[in-house]
Amino acid sequence: MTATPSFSKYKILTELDDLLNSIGIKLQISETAHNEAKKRYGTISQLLNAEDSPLAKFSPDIYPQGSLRIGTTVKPRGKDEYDVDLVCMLKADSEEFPNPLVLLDMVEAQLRANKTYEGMIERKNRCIRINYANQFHMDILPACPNPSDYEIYGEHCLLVPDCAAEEWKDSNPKGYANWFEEKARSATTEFRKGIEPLPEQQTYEELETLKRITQLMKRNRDVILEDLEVKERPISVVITTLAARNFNGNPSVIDALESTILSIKSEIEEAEILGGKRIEVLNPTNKEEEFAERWDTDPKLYATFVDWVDNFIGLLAELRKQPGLPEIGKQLEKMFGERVTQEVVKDYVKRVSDLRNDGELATAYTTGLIVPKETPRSTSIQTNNFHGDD
Amino acid sequence: MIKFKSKKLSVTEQIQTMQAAHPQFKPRPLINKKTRKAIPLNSAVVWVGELQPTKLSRKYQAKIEYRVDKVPSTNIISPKLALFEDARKLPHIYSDGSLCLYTPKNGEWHAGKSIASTIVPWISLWLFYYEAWLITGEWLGDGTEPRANEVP
Repeated sequence: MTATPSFSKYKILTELDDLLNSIGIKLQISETAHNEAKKRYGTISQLLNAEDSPLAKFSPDIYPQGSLRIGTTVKPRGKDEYDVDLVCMLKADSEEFPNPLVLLDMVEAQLRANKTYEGMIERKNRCIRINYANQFHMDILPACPNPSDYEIYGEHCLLVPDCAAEEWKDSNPKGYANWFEEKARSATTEFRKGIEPLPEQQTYEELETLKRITQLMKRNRDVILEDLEVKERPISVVITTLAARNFNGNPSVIDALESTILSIKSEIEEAEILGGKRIEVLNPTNKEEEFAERWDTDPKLYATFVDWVDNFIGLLAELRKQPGLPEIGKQLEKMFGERVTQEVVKDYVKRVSDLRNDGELATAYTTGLIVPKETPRSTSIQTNNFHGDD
Repeated sequence: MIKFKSKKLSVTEQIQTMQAAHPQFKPRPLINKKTRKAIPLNSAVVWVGELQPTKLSRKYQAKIEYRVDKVPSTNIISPKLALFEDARKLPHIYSDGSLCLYTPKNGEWHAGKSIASTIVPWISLWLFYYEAWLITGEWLGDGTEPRANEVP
């Protein structure tokens, strides 16, 4: 038991880290919804693999990509539905299908042939969207293997339709996910080497700080830039990639947020000094792919991104300066949204209240800090009801 | 309700137990408002001390006045307690501005109990719920509100 324990599940987190960590967790897709999504795309996979399916010969394999895969989902603001991005891997030869839309048409046809999905199917530019009202919409992107890249980038390389949906382009969602996990692991290991004594292994592994800071950055983007069109805001894969490559392994959410965003800022400044250029955000699993290619076609987008980084740095500095819990709450609302902050605060208060009702609380001598009953040099908080009528 | 006789603690004993647990609450003589004279410390006492309910909270200065045969009365003297958005008054406060910390008829506090082990922890708890009220607008600590003109 540490001298000043917080009521966090993770004993090594400070109260502020606990609040930030809780906000991240509250924003992500629930386990129930996640399992529900798995069930649903499992069903779709079976449908596409059915004996009478013209796609069966390609052994369709559906799996999640993007934030669902790496665990950095963030609930879209104002909506209750998550975006579930799926890859539908087809063992087809891209040479035989130079036009990616042909395979997409086949997927659409098979889905439309089944009454289950009536009214739920939306054809998008390069994917099929299935709407599960009030839960999520699933975007299914057709893909086929890309063996020419296996040697350099591993066996998960794919081809997916490009944005114009005219040609195939390289992608590697599984490879990217592995890269992200590896970044989290190696940074954390490096960081821990510098700490004596080593804290509990298990707790560190549970912490997933890189995922948390990625979620918080994405969410802050959604909150601060809510007046902009989605396509004018920095895109999630850019934020995610920058977070992963600048994360230093610090388990403290606030410290990691700060060091990561400052490191991104350094990258920006360095690129600026080296000839007024923008930073590059190449796909680490496919250097041909520049995630931030739109910064070239529309320089305003880069300016928006840089401003967002500067603003975030300022908001974090303000957060650290707040003198009390209510002020911290207000700043968190400003940074991440009112509803999620309120929910997190209420959860925290409930945890303390439950302990109170069980008679498990005390106040520490001299400071008055509310602590667990077993804390040395403390007075148990006796049962009270904040006033009643006489 | 069963009223049981328990040994009352003297003011001196209250001062001693306070010193042992919460030495930051320094005792002073209470001044009689009419005579302007200090009341002897064996009949009444005023403590002023600092409390911080959570590591993220501010530090608050609380004042506890206690006269023998009366109930302790607590006020937060600094900082000035802010109101939530458009609330017109603070929750769980008596009309004289003192904190409602317990329900008298439940015998939660009586003269046989040490103020240091009852009132002081309840102040921390009150401050904790006060801060939560400032964020959420809800008093999450249960209890009931005093009537309009009620004083302790």
